[in-house]
Amino acid sequence: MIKFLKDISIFSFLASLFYVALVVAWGELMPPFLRPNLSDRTILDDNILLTLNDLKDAEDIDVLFLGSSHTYRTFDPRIWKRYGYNTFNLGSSAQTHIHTGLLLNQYLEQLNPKLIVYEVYPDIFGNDGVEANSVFLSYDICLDQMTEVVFESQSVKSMNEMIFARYRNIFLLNDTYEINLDISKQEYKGNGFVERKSNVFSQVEPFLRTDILQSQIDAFQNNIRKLENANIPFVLVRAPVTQIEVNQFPDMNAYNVLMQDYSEFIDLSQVNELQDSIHFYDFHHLNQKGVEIFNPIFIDTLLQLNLLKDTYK
Amino acid sequence: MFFDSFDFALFLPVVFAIYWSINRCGLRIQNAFLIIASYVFYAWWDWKFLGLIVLSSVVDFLIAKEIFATAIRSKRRQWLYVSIFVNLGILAIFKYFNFFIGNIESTFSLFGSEKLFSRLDWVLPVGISFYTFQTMSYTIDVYREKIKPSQDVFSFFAYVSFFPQLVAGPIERASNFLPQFKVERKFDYGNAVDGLRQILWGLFKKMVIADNCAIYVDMFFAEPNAYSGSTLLIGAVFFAFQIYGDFSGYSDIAIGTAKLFGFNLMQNFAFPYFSRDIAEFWRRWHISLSSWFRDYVYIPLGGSRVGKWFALRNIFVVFIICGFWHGANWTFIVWGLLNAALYLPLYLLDRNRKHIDTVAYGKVIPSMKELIHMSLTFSLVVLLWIIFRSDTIDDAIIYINGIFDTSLLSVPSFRLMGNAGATFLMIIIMLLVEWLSRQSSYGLGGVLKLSSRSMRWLCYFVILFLVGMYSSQSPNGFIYFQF
Repeated sequence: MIKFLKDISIFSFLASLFYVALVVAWGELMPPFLRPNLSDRTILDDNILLTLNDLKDAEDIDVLFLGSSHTYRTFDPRIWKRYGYNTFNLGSSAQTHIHTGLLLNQYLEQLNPKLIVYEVYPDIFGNDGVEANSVFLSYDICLDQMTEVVFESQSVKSMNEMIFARYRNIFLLNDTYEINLDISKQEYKGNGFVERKSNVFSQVEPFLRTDILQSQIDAFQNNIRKLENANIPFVLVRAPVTQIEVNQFPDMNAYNVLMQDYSEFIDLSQVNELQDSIHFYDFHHLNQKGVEIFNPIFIDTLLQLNLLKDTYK
Repeated sequence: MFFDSFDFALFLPVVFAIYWSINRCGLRIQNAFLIIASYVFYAWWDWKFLGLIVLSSVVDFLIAKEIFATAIRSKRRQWLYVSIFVNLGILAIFKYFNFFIGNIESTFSLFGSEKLFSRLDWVLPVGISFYTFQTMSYTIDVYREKIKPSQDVFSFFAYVSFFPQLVAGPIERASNFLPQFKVERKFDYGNAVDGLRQILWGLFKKMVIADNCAIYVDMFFAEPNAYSGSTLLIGAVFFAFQIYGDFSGYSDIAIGTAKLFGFNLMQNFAFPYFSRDIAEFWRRWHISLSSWFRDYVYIPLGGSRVGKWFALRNIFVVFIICGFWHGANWTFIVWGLLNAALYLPLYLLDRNRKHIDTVAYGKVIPSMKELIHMSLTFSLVVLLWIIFRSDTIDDAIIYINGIFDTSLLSVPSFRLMGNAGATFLMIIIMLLVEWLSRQSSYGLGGVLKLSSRSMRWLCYFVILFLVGMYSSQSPNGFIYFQF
C-alpha cells in the first residue's frame, strides 16, 4: 500500500507538470478547432480590451451598467450622453452574478456611480459561468479573484484557461498582444458599448432552459447586499427580448415578483415600440435600430420612477 | 453520483482510504462499510428508492435459505416463483406499468374506449434492471443447487449493492462474485494499478467520446428532417460510438474501481465493433447481460438441443426479451427482433460460432476479408442502433429514410463542424488504441506491452491530457442508468 501511495503521489505530480506543459503548448500551437476546451483571445471578442482601456480613465460616473451581453448591446452611453449623463457599460458575455460580484469588488470604488443598472436576464441564474470565466481569464479581468471562481465552477475548460492565462500573465505575453477586431458586424463605440449593425435575425433556434444554480442565487444576493452596504442606488432591469423568447419563458410573472422582492425592478423585456423582425439581431439581442428606440424610453422610465435625477451635475 | 463527477472524484479516495484502513477490523466490518458506502452512493441520486434495493436483498436472502432448507421440489419451486414474482414485479411496476397500460388502451381505443387507467407518475429507479437481475440469478442458482445460500447477511447485502456495479452492471453471478465477499481482501499493488488504468480509459471513452458524440446525436435525432442523408449517417455512426463509449466506459470504470477494492468483476465488453458477424458482436457486447439471458432463459428453454425450430424460437425469445429489458418501448422490442433476424442465417448455416477468436490475432493489420466483414457488421449494427435510439418506430423510419436519400452523397453539413472534427479525431484515437489492445481485457491493456515504465506513464499522461482538453462541456448522464 505504501508503494502504491508513493507511486500515486509521484505520478500525480509528474502528470500535473506534463498537463500544464501540454496546455501551454496546445494554447500556443494548435488552431482553435483542435483545442475545444481552451479559449483565448484569438477566439474571443477583443472588444472587451477596448472596454478595459476606457475603464482605466473612468471615474465618478452617473450610471453604471452591469450584466451579460444584453447589457453591452443594449445600454448605449452615447445616447445617455445626449441626455447629459456620463455612463459606463461594464457588461460582458454571459456575465453571471458571480462575475458581476468580482467586477463590483474591483471597480465600484473607482467608478463611484450614482446609480447602478443591474441587468437580470433570467437564464443567467442557471449559467455555469464557464463562458464568463473564459472572458475574464483570457483578458486578465479580476485575475487574482478568479482562482476560487474556477475551482468552484468545477469546469475542466476553465481550469485549462486559468493555466494558460497564468502562463501568459507571468511571461507578460499579453503586453505585446495586438487587438484583432472584425468590424463588419459590430463595432466598439466607447465606454463599454458594442454597436451591432442593424441586420435582423432569420432563424429561430430552440431555446434551452437550464436549472437554476444555488451558487448564482447566492452571488446575486451578495451583490445586492454589497450595493446596499455601499449606499449606492440601483435598479434591477430585464432588457428587451423578442416576443418569441417571451412566449417560451415558463412563468414570467413569478420571476418578476421574485425580483421585486430584492429591489426596485423594471421589466422591459416587452416594449411595445420594439418589433421582433426589425429591432433585434437575434431573438434576445437588440440591433442598433432597437437600441436607438429603447434607450430614450428607458431613461424616461427611470426619470418617471425618480430613480434617475434630471442631472447629476 | 456519476462516475465522471467531482463528487465521485472525492467519494472514491475517501471510501478507498477508509476501506483499507479497516481491513484489520474483520470482514464483517469491511463488508458493512461497503454496504454503507454503496447506499450513500445510490442515495446521492435518490434515497427514496434505497428501499427497493433493501427489499430485493431481503427477499432473495430469505427465499434462498428457504429453498435450501427444503428438499421438496414443488416447495422449492414455489419459493423460486415468489422470488421471481417479487423481482419482476418491482420491474413491472416501475419500468413497464405505463407501457402495458398504454398498449392496452391503444388496443381498446380501436373499439372506441377512451382512457381506462391512470398512469404511474414515478421516476424509473436507477439501475433497477441490473440489481434485480443480479439478485434473481442468486436465487435461481441456489434453486439449481449450483451454490449454497449465503449465511452472512453482510456479505450478501454488500454483493447486491456493491457501488461500482450497482447501477449499470456488469450483472454479476453469485457463483463468481459472492465468494469474493467472504474471503479476506488483500491489497494488491498490480491489481490496484490495473484498476486505475482501466478507470482512466473508461473516463476517456465516456467524457471524450460519448459526451461529445451525444451533442450531435441529440441534434440529429431531434430533427432528422432538417439534415441531409450524409449528415444523418454521421449522426447514426456517432450514436454507435456514443453508446459504446458510454456503456463500455462505465463498465471499465466499474471494473477498475472494483479492482481498487480487491474485487474482480467480469468483462462486459470485448471490443464489439471489431466483430466479423452479428453472432460475434453479441458475444462481445454487454457480455454480462447476454450470458445472463443465455444461462437463465435460453438454456432453460432448451437452448439449441431441442431441434432446429424450437431453437429458432428460443433465439427469438431471448433477443426480444433482451430488447424489452432495455426499456418499455416498441423500439427496443423491434431492435431485439431485428438482431434475432440477423443472427438467424448464421445459426441456420451453422456459422454462429465461426468467429470465436480475436480478429487478426497476432497481426497489426487485418486482412481485406476481415476488414470487409468488420465493416459490414458495423454497418448493420449502426442501422439497428437507429431504431434503438429513436423515440418511436415512426421516428426511426423517418431517420432511416432520411439517410437513404439522394442527399446521402452530399457533403455533410452541420453546425459546430469544428468540434465534430475533433470528435472524429478522438474516435480514431480510441479505435487505434483498442485495436492494438484487442487481445487484452480492456482498451488500455495494450499499454502493458510497453516494457518501460516511463513510456507507460507517458501514455497515461497523454490520455489524461486528452480527457482534459477534449472532454465535452455538456456532460450527459450514463445512457444505461435508465435501463
